[in-house]
Formats: sequence, structure tokens, C-alpha cells
Amino acid sequence: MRKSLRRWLHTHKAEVAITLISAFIGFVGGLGVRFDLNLNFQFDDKIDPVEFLSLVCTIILALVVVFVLDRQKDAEKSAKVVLLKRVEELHALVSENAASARGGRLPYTQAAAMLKRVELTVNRLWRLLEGAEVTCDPEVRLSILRQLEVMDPLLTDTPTAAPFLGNLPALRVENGILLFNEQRSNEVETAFEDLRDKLTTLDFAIING
Amino acid sequence: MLASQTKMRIKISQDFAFAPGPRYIREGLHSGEEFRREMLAPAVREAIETKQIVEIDLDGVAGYGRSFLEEAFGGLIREDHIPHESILGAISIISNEQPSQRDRIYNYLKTAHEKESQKMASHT
Repeated sequence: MRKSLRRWLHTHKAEVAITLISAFIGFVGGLGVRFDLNLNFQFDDKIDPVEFLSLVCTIILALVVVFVLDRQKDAEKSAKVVLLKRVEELHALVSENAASARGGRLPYTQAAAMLKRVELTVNRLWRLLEGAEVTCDPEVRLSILRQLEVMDPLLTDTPTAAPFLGNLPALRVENGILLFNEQRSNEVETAFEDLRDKLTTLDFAIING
Repeated sequence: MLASQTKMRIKISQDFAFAPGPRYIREGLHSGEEFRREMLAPAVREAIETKQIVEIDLDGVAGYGRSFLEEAFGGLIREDHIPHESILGAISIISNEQPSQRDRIYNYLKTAHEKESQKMASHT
């Protein structure tokens, strides 16, 4: 009970503060009127129905605006949570593939599938962001797509040639597994890091959008 | 393509493999070479002979590596020696999921054609 009260107070800090301040002003004002303090306030003892109605309308309008804005903010927040979860899944997928590439056990089909999934998910996320009216810099999406264009040949473009007898190519496939020479291995590692960085930028763009 | 031309259809995800593989058969399963030999080249040849169109649907697979697509389509010119113009008149590519793949395939065909033309010129 105490815990839930504390949580409620924590989440409704602003409302509680406004209520307390209003109550304090009302109390002081009441005291001023009651004890006829000379505060140079002038009070009319008649109530103008038009003014009263206008006051009530203003209060109702203010409450409605606060309520609507609050609802909108909540909806935006939950949309962002969902979208961030999707990006988190991409982070996991890319990290898993990077680890497999590092360990020399990344299947060709898995690399191709990762590239397609990241591309489609980022494009889908962008449509969802637009639908949720979360504005993000379009350059974030484009930089991820450009990075995929860089990674595609690094991971899936093997040369057209007879079985190599001399120097090994930068990328070859054996039993469906990708094998890199040292230089390509470094390039692949860097490319995965760059992709992760760009996904992190997407995280920030969603949070700040 | 004429409106009256009939269509043959290859949907790679259903007719060949959900996860297309590397370039050559010796490199792994479901390779571009296998796809070209078993499905694409016979279909393109038939389409040219019977004046039909082969509609190749790329959607629905896990993902394509560049070598798969290059070997499948570029190989039609390089290995099967089917003329570039005949291929262009006999195929129609569908790629709604990744529209850029369509341009990439036409580029592979063009590059393979140019290389073969250069090779022929150097032999004569």
C-alpha cells in the first residue's frame, strides 16, 4: 500500500505540486478576505453569470488540453518503446552474425538473410515512425542502407573463377560457410562495428524524435 | 513485352529454395549455378523459342547473396551463351521487397555481355 502510494506520488509529482500550491494560494486568499487584510484587493460580492460560465469553460478547456496532451505523450512513449524493441532485435541479430564471422562459422545464407532483414526492418520501422508521428532525421535510415551496400559485397560477392590453385581470394565459401583472408576479415569486423554504430544512432533518433 | 505474350513463372522461394546459397554447386547447397542449370536456363531457352516471357519472382526468400544472383543471371551469358538481347526480351523480374535487386540483375547481365563481347573481340 505504502509502496503503491509512493509510486503514485512519484508519477504524479506535477499534479500534486500544482494542487498544493493552489490550495496554499486559496488558503492565503481566504485568510486575506476573512480578516479583511489591507491587500488592496477589491472583491465584488455579486457573481456575474457570464463571467462565471467563462471561468468554468476555461477550467474545463485547460483540463481537456492537459488530458489530451498527456494521452498523446503516453501513446508516443509506448510507440517509441515498441520501435526501440525492434531495433534491439536488429542489434542482437547483427552482433550474432559478427560473432559468427569472427569465429569463421558464418554461413553464406545467414549473412545474406541478415542483410535483407536489416534492410526490410529499417524500412518498415521508418514507415511505423511516420505513422506514429515520431520525426527522425532521414539521414539515419539512409546511412544504415548505405552501410548495408558496403557490407553486401564484403560478405556475399565471391569471384567467378575456377577452383583457386594459387593465392586464396579475399572471400571464399566452403560447405556453405564464409571464409575470409586476414585483410577481408578486418574489413568485415569494421563493417559490422559501423553497422552497430548506425543502429545505435537509430536508437537515439527514436528516443529524441 | 507484348500484352498477348503468355508467361511462365518461377517463384524462387517456392520453386527452388527459401534460402538461396552461394555461387557454385561445389560451395554449398542451393547455389546460383544450380538454379541456373536446373531452372533458369531451360526456362529462358524455352521462353525464347516459344516467344513467351519468364516471370522470375525474387520475393519471399531469406535473402540473396550477390554471387548467387550474378551466377544465375550473368551465367546465362557467360556459361550458357544465350544472347543478351534474347534474355532481355524473355525475362521479367519481380522484386517488390528489394526493388534494387531488379536493377542489379540487369546490371549483371549487361556486365557479363560486355565482358563476353570483349573476349570475343580479343579472339578475332
